[in-house]
Amino acid sequence: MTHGEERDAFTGIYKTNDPIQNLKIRVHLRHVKAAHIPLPQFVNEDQERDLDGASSASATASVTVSGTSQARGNSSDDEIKTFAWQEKVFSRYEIDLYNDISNCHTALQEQYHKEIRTITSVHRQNSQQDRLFTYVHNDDVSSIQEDEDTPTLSSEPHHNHLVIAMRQLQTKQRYVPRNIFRREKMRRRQVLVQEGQGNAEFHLQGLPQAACQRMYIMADLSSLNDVGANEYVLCVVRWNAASGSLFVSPDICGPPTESKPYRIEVDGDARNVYEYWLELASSDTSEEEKVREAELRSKVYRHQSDLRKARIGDDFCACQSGTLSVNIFGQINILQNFDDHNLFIHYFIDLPRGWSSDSEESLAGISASCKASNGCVHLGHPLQFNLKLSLSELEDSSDVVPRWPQLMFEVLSMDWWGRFRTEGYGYVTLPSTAGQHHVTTHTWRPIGNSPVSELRRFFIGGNPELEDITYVGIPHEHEGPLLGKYGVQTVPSGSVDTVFNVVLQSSSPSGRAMSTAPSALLERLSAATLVSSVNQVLAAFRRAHERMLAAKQGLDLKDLNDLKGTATETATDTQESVM
Amino acid sequence: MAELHVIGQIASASGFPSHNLFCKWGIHAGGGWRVIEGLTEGQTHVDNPSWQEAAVWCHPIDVHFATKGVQGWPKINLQIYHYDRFGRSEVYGYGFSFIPSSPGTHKVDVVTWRPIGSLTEQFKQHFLGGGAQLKSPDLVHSATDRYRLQTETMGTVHLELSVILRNFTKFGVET
Repeated sequence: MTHGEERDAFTGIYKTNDPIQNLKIRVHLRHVKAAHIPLPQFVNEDQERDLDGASSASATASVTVSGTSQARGNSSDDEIKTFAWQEKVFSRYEIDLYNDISNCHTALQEQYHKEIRTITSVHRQNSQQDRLFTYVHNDDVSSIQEDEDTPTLSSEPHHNHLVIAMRQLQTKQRYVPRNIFRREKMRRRQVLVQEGQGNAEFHLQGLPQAACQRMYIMADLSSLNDVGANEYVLCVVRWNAASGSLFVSPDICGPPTESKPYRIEVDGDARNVYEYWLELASSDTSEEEKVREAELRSKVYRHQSDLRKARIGDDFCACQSGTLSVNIFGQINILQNFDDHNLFIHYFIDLPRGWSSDSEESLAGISASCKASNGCVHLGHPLQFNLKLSLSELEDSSDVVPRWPQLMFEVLSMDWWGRFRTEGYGYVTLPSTAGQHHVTTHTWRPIGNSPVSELRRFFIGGNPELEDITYVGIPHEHEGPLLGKYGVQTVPSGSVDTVFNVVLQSSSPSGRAMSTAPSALLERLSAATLVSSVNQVLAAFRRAHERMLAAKQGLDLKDLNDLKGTATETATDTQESVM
Repeated sequence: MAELHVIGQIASASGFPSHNLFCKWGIHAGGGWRVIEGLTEGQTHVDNPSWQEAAVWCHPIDVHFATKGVQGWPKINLQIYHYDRFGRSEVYGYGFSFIPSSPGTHKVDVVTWRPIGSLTEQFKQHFLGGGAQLKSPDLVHSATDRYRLQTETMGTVHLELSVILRNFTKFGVET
């Protein structure tokens, strides 16, 4: 049943590298004394009618408020205790049990017996105030664990095989030394695949829950005369040292003034309700330590990046100022739907004015010839170009936007007798934006005016070819406002799939990061032009400075200073005129 | 110094003539590039799907590069082998792809081919297996001298690559 003042129980999962011994949890337990849900038989007919008149929800709410205020007023009954990790606090039942030496059978129980004797000799426990206690990892808590393993409220819980295997694994890990497991793991690592591993434990071993240390914070909420009858789990803390994960269920909620409590109804009796809060009571690290830790971390990071720099160097190959470097990394991947079955491609890059390339020979090439299967030819031919656009040449030309290079290609087929046929022509304008581009180009091929040429192509090979392949785009010799291709008869042919990875590099002002958004080409160019004009100013200043040095001979210091002033003035003048 | 981090997997292969495939892979980069961390070579297990068409490998790739320049962008080379029931491995395909240059996750399809020999060799290959192999696998990703190769179309290898770039914008590089 949900309640307005109640908090849902979730498991908190925390990751930490700090030693678990620092963990402290404070529990604040409070008995809600107000019996704010009256039992039906005690309610008079009149009162019931009254309740019907008002909305029942508001009625309960008002009672709740009065109930809690009463409880808050009476805080002497609250019990607050702080538990350290694996700190054993005995319950009243345990004190009675282990006080008698005849009940102690194991070494642990005998040790408990001694501890209890010292406690009881110091002071007799306050009967009402010792409800909170703990079970630590070494205690036998199989009954609680069994309860924990059932996720439903079913009266006849059914455990599947994974639950049983997990419980076996946990018991095994508790009693068997860890290094035996490690040895088993080592043995297992040598054999990659094991035959017939139907063992559930094998699959569970990697889970962080498998090798957890546990601690239960409990409350004995039974009355004085039957001690130990009603033990409730307030909080289960599980810790996996290997992965550094801490499971707290229910999660830590905070101090009573700030958060809603968790509720326990004793024996399902709504009049006997306890509320409790879980608080993290571990002492925080001091500011000084935090600063020291951050410093250490940054030192380690700096050391690592220094090592990296020592291996690779801090510099980066900048391209020349006033140029835009266009790096193309791509492939001609697939030729599809061509007539013939043994295809290859002949391609070249057409560089317009202002463009240059570092390696001229790689701008043209012929791929391997490849046999098709299902009308598809896998070429996988690399296209790797480093092209440079010179901005100074661009300034002289009348074009506003520079012409971009084009990849022109013809697809050819070769038959068994070594005869070639042209299968298709096409071109791709190289992408001008950075990033990855998939481009599919459809091709065409010219046919002659009479059917004879097609017959010849079919029987003995050879067919009309373009004299100038640039005709597929804008022909080189073309001038004038209109491009007419009327008069050339063609048939469509297959398609060519290409992939281009484009990386643009321009000289940027040093130390200033370029924006990460894909910039427009013109902006990029203007930035580069700005750099080049600044360089011009610097060069002018250097020239003036050299002239000044030459003229310095035979002049005294005063004249020299005057001259220097004029030189700077002229330099700034030049700069302004360029801007 | 800029950095590039490739995380991904060689997911699967489809379109090959028979099953029992495995893949040898390697990532190569130009002179200005250094591997900071990660394996640049490897080999997958042999996958023999009983009814699907695609062989599934899901072989991890995780390489961290540092570089001095854009030139020589890293590329991944693949060699697909068929492991037959007599324990022999024959080449089923060569392929390569550049590592995508833009950051983000990319599905990359690598097309593969294999060299074929003369008619008699093809006849032998049909009955006995084996077949021509490349003398040096460099030819897979070099553009020069490829006209000498006579190849046939094989299947496609599917990669999933996530690319993380660092400091490239600092040096005026747009990717």
